[in-house]
Amino acid sequence: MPEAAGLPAGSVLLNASGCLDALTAPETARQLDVFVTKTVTPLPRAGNPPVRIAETEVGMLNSIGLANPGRDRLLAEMLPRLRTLGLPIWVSVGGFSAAEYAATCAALDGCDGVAAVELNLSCPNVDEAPESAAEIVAACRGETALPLYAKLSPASWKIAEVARAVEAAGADGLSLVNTLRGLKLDPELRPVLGTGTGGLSGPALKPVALAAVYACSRATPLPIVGMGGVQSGRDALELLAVGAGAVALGTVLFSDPSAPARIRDELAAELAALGLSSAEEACGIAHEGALPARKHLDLGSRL
Amino acid sequence: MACGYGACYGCAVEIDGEWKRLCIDGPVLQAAA
Repeated sequence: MPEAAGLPAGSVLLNASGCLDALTAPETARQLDVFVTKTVTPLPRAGNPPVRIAETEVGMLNSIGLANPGRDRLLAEMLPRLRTLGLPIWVSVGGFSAAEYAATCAALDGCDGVAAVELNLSCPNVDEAPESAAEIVAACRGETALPLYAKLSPASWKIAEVARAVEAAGADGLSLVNTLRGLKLDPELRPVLGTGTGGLSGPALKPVALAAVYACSRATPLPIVGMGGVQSGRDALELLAVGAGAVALGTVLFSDPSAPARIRDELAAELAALGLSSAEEACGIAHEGALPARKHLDLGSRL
Repeated sequence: MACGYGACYGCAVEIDGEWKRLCIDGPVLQAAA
């Protein structure tokens, strides 16, 4: 992983993939340090049938189903517009086989403005590739020199083992976590979502994310982007404390387009109250004893 | 609809094989070409 350059202290906020369209809400995107695209697949996808969103008592369910315009339109039409934001761009890559992931990584390699690839290895709303996460990472590693972040599912009890496996396969970092599968019933006791189940995000996901980051940060030295239910600076601080080097905002963006600026301010106050001068100093402070020496988190400020 | 500003794709409706986001492509859409 190259040395991170030009990242001022406190540059820690990303969006969770699929939770922000920077082309329709550039003012929200510019509050972030990095913009992460919605997951792109080789071919265009219409996504899942409605109903796609359901609110629950503890968060929300989505079943969007990786709706996206496909890799070619991303490269030809969207990336040139995204570059005008002046932010490093991470492209979230999806697929239905290791070869599909790898082909997109090859197409992105050397693309101006693309600072990293996040491999969406854990969408709960579509069929999974038959290969393991590590096999997909290995296939992609062979096709690109871009930093590869593996986005893992918290549904596995063995997430730390998966983290070690993707590290061995060549991942440069981890994105933790994706949503958990959930279901909501309507008053007539029928599933609300068109596909029945969907991905649960929001406040219910925070303890799950904290546990995943905690476990993985003890298992590998890879830099971690933590996400799951972050709504405040305190939530962001907690993810840093269990071992994340940066924090991504997801569901909170739907209800509060100004959340990144607010959470950045709140996090600064939280850090100051602890006598810490940067987010980096908070990384891992929830752990007793020494953590593995953590590689520098490269958010890809190549612009 | 979760967001109302084009981020979530929760309000998408299919019109002539193309999915439109009601929040930013609508709120009023032609039902068919």
